[in-house]
Amino acid sequence: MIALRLALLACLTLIVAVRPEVRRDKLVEIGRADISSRISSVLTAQGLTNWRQQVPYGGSLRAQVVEFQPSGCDAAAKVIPFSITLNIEAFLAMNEVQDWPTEMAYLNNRAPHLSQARLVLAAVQAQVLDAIGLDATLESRSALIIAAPPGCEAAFDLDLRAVWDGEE
Amino acid sequence: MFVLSSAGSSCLSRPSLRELVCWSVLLFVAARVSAAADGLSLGGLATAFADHNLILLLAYVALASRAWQIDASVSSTRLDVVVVAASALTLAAISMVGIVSLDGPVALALGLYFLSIGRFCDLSLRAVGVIFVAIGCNLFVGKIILMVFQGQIVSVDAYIVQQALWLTGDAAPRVANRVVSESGFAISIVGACSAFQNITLMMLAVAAAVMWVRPRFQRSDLLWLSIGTVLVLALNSIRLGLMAQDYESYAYWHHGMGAEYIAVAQTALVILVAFFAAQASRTDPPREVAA
Repeated sequence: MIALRLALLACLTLIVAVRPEVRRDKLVEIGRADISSRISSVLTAQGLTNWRQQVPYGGSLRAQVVEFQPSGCDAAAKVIPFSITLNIEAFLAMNEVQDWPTEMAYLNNRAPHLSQARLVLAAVQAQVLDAIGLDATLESRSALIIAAPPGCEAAFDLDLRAVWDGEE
Repeated sequence: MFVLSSAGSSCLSRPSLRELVCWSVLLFVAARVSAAADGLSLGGLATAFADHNLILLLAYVALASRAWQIDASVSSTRLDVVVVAASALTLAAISMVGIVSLDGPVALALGLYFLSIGRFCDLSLRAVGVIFVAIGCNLFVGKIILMVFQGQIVSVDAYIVQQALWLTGDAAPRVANRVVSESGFAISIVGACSAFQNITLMMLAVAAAVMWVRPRFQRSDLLWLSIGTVLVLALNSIRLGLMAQDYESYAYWHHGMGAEYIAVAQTALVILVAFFAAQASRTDPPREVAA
């Protein structure tokens, strides 16, 4: 059993002495505090300059809202980060868009335009993949809600995948 | 470093079960501390250990204490060796790749295994199993439950906050997880604000403290778990109720000094509940005899 003890000692040495740094970088790839900046950057990259960032409730991801006005719209539409396991009606009411047409999109770049139930399932899948090291989608419980006032359906044509991809 | 047991000192015989359990505890704690450390230095590791959550530190101490009290004359089986070696390899692999979120499943698996073999042979081994399971529940199961049922869980939190505000004369309307105070200021309660994770932490603290003192649960533990749950829920609801007053209160209790005070109060509360639960055992000595 000396071999077993040596093997366990080797495992202990590996645990203490070998740690990757790359993974830590991935953990902060999309910070909660700056997601509205990323949304704004993506909007700008797509030619929309008429946007306004709002952080009305103190800086958490779910409190950040970006308003923008696509051409042909009389009023501003909103992009709102949303934790997909929350009650969506209450969340829309909090952001005063409960009467607007909405579209929930972009759990990550591979899950555009899914229903809330499918987003939750995709989030569970992402969590499992993340746990075994096959994915690094850390904001996987968050989606983006695009809410547009009536008559402003052009807002739904936006491609916001780069918010999650990191490609602006 | 602990001393290896005399049982199984020959090259051909298997090590004692106590030695294997001690190895699994040592490797698990090392993996947790190593994952939290910034550098490879001993100082970095020591700082990471000292910065650990107090409740988890309590659990580590209880684990080490109970593991050391396992009967050293009991030899391990081949399956014991396989399970501990597999967990060691898994912990080494996840530490090297940096997947800290797998610590919880490993603790849960080890705990369930030790519970299954400790049921018939050694009460200290069973205690180690209970603590590992409690760690696994806090690090893994609780998070999965919170993720899947977040909407329902935060709605319960919001309901309690609404009732607390109603008791203070503030008739707060509520829709799901959103509470609006009389002033018109609204908060939306999300998973991180929920008392759920604090309750799993309180359960871990009680399990660790009780198992440290005696290797079996008794009826009074349920009472203390219930008291702890109510107190944790109440403290969190008070905090959320204070946050719902206006933006200044929100900022103070959510990410200002108030949040620090609440964190200290919650930790102290959980440790007190665990202490009283463990103290209760001394007045009611266990009647069991180890098989």
